[in-house]
Amino acid sequence: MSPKTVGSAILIGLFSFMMLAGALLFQIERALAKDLLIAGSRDNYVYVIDGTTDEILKTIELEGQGFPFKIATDPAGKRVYVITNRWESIAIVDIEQGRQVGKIDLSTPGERVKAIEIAVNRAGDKLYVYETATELGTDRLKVLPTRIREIDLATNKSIRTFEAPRQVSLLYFSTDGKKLYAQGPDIYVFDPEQGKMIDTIPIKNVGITGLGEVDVLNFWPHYEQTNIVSNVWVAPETIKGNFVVGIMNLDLASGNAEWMELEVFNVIIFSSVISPTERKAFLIYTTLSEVDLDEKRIKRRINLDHTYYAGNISSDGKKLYLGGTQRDVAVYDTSTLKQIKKIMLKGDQSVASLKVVKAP
Amino acid sequence: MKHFKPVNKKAKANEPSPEETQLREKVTDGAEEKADVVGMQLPLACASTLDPGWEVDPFGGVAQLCQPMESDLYGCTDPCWWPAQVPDNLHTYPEWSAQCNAAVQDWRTLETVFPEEEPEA
Repeated sequence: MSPKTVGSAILIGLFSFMMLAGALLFQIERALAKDLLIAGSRDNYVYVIDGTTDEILKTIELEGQGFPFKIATDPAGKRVYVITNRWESIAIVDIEQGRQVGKIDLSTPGERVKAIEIAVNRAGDKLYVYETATELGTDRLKVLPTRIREIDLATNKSIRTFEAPRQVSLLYFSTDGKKLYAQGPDIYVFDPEQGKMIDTIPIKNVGITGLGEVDVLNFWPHYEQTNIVSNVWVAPETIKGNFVVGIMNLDLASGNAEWMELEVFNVIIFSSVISPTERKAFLIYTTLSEVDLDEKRIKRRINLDHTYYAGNISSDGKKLYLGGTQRDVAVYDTSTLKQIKKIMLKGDQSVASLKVVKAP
Repeated sequence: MKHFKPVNKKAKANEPSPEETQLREKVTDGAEEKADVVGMQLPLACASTLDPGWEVDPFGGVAQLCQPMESDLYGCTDPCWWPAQVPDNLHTYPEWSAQCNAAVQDWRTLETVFPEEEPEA
């Protein structure tokens, strides 16, 4: 065997050993970490963060142009799906390998498609994409009906599309997987087997006595710790004439929506996340508020050092992660509302999701 | 329009087929087609609302705008939240922020957008 061949064999062996060592090290880190936090930032990065140490384990550069938008996780906690590439593609990321392993392009030569939301079904074998599409004519653009695309994750091929109302920005499944909720001005309930809308849960015209038309900023899919989708709403009071703010919590197990009014609207709140261990909710924007869900009132409020759009919470309920907007994910102690740490990313998060993957 | 004849490939490609013409006349009964008007896909904080607003917040001040303003910059450009105030960074003007991944630190590297020049007649 020539020296050159021996050298090549050594290099290949060394490279294989390093890859194996890296994978083993990640397995060890993952076993120690109770949660993994998945974040996204400009210009086109996804991060895997250790939920115990709050350190970045992996920084994954995605293919194509940015910017990372909604992130969906599979039930097994092995892959994440990310809207990116001018929101015309879905990147498939393997958490363990720490790299992009696939891509689903949505646009075609005659049609530009932008993805607004994605969700993996409870079985983990299908991905649902809410799309807004534009037909690219020779001298005109034509807005097409909005739709939900169903994709087979074994082949990454599109199975079908079915029409859905406009202005949807959240998709999520009931815990039994039998209902697909598409949330816009109202919540549209779909049978994913049939691809048909079977019900509507009202938000805009909820019909609560004393409340006018309700406005909800439904944009952040951060419900996985409790399977309760919590939305902040604002509405005019028809009796006193004030605007009031509250939260509406949709339980994905029972399908029940719980409405609670919290205060007169004088502080903007963008999002809400429910604790998995206590009857509490945390409301996020330029202030951080703690809500007692039993007493239905805000118990504490602190000022934050800058605006955050949304947050997520650790599985033990002890840490709150604030994300969106700038390049830092802030970690807060839920009992004291003191900042523990800031996790610095490579760029601004903007409207990228902040998801938690529970350790298996 | 029926008096115009296509003279090149692109114009011919734009012509409706005889079947399309027949169907259109049947559906519209010869009347002019009406343009569809649909709501913006993301009306959640469009230019007509003040939640949180761009120049002024719902309470007539600036305190409830995102703080600092740069926190909200890309949240406004990427989903085309404020289409009149900031460029469509996601699709039409991606180069606008190509050097500016962290707006608070690097806002000075934001590019400038100008209207495209019309070709001279």
